[in-house]
Amino acid sequence: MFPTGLSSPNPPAQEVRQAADGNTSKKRKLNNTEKDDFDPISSPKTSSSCSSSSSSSTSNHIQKRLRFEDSLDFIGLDVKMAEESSSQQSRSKNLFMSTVAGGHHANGLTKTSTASSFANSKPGSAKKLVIKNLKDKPKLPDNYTDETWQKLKEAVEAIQNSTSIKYNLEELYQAVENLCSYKISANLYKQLRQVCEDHIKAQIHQFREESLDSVLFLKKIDKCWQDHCRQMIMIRSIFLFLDRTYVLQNSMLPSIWDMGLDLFRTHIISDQKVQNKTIDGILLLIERERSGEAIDRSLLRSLLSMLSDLQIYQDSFEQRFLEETNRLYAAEGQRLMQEREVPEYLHHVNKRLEEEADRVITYLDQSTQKPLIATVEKQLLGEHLTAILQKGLNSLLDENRIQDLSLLYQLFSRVRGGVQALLQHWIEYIKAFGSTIVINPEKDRTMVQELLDFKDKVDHIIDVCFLKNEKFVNAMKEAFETFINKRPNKPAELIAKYVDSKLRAGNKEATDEELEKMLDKIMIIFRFIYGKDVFEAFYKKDLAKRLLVGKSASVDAEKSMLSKLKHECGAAFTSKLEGMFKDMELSKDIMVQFKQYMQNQNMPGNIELTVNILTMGYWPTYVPMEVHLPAEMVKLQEIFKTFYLGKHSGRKLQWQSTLGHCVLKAEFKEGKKELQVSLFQTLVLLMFNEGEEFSLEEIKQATGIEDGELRRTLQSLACGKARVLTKIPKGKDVDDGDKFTCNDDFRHKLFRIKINQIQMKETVEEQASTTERVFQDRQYQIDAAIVRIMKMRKTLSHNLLVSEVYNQLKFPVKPADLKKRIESLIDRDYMERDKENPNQYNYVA
Amino acid sequence: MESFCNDLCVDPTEFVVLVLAWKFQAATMCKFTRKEFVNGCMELQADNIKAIQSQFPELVNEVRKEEKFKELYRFTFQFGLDSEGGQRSLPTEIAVALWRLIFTHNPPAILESWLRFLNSSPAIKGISRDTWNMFLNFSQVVGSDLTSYSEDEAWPSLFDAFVEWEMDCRKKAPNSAEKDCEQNVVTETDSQD
Repeated sequence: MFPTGLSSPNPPAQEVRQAADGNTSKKRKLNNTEKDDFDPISSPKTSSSCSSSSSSSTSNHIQKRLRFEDSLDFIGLDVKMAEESSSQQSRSKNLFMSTVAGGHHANGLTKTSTASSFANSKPGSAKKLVIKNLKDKPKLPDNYTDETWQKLKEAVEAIQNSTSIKYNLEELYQAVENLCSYKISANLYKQLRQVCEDHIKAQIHQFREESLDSVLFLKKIDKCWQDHCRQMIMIRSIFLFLDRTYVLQNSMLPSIWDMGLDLFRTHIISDQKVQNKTIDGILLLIERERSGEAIDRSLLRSLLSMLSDLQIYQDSFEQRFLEETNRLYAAEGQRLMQEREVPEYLHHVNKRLEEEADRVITYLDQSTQKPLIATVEKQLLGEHLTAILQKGLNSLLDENRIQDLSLLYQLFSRVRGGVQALLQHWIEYIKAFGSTIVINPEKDRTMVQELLDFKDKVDHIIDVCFLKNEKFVNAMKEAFETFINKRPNKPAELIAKYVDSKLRAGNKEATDEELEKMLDKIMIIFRFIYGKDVFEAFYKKDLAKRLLVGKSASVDAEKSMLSKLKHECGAAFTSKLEGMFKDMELSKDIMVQFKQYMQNQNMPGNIELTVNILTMGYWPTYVPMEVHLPAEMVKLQEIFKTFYLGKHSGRKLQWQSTLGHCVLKAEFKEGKKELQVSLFQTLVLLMFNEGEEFSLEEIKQATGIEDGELRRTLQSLACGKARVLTKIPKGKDVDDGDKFTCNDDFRHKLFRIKINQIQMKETVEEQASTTERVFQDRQYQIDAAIVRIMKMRKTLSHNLLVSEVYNQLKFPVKPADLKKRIESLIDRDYMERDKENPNQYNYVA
Repeated sequence: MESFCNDLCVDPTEFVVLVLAWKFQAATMCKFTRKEFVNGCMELQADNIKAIQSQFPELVNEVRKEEKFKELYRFTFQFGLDSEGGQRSLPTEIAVALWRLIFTHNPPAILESWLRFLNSSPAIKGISRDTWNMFLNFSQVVGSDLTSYSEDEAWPSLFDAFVEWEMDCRKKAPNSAEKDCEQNVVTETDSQD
């Protein structure tokens, strides 16, 4: 009959209110359509109307289950039922009853309706109606009240004892209505209350037994509660009229349903023993469920909704429940943090949270959700934030466990301060891991690649696990900046070299798009670096090599890189680099003109000359090396010089012999070959046109090439892959006194052979000198900045000056170095120390 | 010059000679130009050796005043400089000697450590005018307690290095360092003589 108990808490009161509304509106409707309503009702026999009454009482319960959503219809039915019974009585009890009906309607209807209904009961009569007042006020029989009450009392007791009711329900309802009409509602209500109270009081005894097992006890309570509800609904149905009229008008009185609840609360649940046992039992069940046992959830749901209905859920249950939860999870958190690995723990926490959420949905009151979930979060997460992060974050990140990290983030964002703590450790992790990449000189070779990979990984984690949280992105950037600059200059240098390796020809591992993408990534790393001038210096050196030797993989890629740099660091940064490209283009034009010039000159000789004119200052500085060139070459140089200076007077040409390269035609036994070699290699090879065998010393004498350079050159020709010379004695290295002959038996499958010069591995010196130059440049820049500032300000205190200089400089400077520059400027009379205040400087014009 | 000193019955390396030179506004050590000499004598209102000698105590007294001493101090740098030779900073050894000389009376607490520091750092070739001038401030401000020193202020970087060095020294071996320095001082004075 009343399986869920869900609907009980508030609706009764609500129902009354709605019923009140519904009543009036329905009555108004009745007024209009009276005839249609009335006809079918007046005709049927008692039996049929009786059955309709009972069916209406079932529908009453069905409606209850539906939470009174269509209360209007339901009320309509009620009213109809009232109407019905009144008409029925009007037949059996004649005139007397019709007045009752009138009395019933008196609340809302006019007398007219009574009259018309009366008239209508004789269908087919004259159209004109005559209304006459009743002569006497009708009276109840003396014993009617008592008798009726006896009847009702019996019925109520029958309901309470679950026996069948002697009287039909409709009759009972009618009785109530009659009693109410005769203004003895107050008494009726009191009596009803008394009966109910007696019954409920009697129930308590069954719970007094000590021996009951807690589950059994709970079931018993539940049963008692269910019975109570069912009974009260029945009783209320019978006494509905009382509920609607008398109780409604007396705002002090609880409705019949509420009265029932009140009685149940006072006499059963408020019994301290019963209550404690109930709550303990419930908590025990919940604890069992938490430890994994299956329990009777519907029992819990029913009991807890009972507590809510009785309005003692919060006071008696919720508080203790939360305390229990707190205690349990505090212990569990402590224990599991010790026992389990972090990912496992996180999954456990997640599971717990889901369970608790489920618990709220299935049997707890909705209001418990917030405090409950908060408690779990606090005990399982909030208390262990740092511990979790310290214990597990690094390994999660190391192993790139995306899912676990997502979970971690998700869980941490539930707790206050969680994200902040995660963020902190996130920064530390990046710094620590990044430092290991950057700091160790042994890893220099792979540093940039590792940085790129690390950045990719970190980006991915932010995207997927941290939901692109802005804070994490920014923190990551800062962390990168910090660790990359922990080791000054070297990362910048290595990035430059990495770019070089990607832009150099012969690097076929990437398509254009991939290359472009890679360059973009490099730029992101590059952005973190403070000393960008170091990058520029190395990049320029490598770029020069690529351009001069024609090794650049793609002009597009070069230009794209250049524009990226320009975008990042401004035009001043790339002006020299752009100048290098411009030089190369201008040189091409010049060479076209030079060719025409040569044709006009009608010069003998079959040597072609290509010259690249490099603007000093744009390019890295090369140390000029004087060598003895063959006469033909010298002549060509002279011709070019005349040609060029004729066009641009006032310029000075300096030949960079180290950068030259030539194509030589040679005839071996196997056939003709073309050798693509450097200028130094050329000079050596050309000697063998004149003789068969030369010693190292002789060659040195003839060519004038610097000793170390010469040895390397000979090594490349005689000990490399393509051996056009033969060294006597054989060996890997060139020693004093070694002799060389031309290798006529030289074989090679290709026609044009490139003999690589053995690159002096980029020596420590070279590197140091590049770095040194950067530092020298920096000193000038510092000086310039200081003078600029002093010129503008005239007088400035030490600290202000220092801070302004820091604002202007784009690279890191130590304060001590800055001081030295200031002293140097004082020494050189660009500025002076104020005579009165030693902390202040004056500009000296 | 030497004979002049002999005539005055003073040692040329005595403090009072320095003061005298200052009074005479001598451009360089070891010589007075005629003009300087005449002007100086007029300033002192002295026309013979005796008269000059009689001025000595007063001269020494005069430079006890802070302002005058500062003037003298600054003068000393220029005095020590071989400006004809195009020097812009004092060679360290001369600077050390001059420091010793000028602080004959009331040497500041930090002086000995400072000189010790200079002697033990061969990398320091010369003392710039700025550093020289600032040392007076430095000795007055810092006293013997170096903890009040801050690198962030405008002190010349040489003082930064000195403070660091001195702190190290004090930390390492407070006693032995003391002895070391005394030996140093002894050898120094020997070499000066």
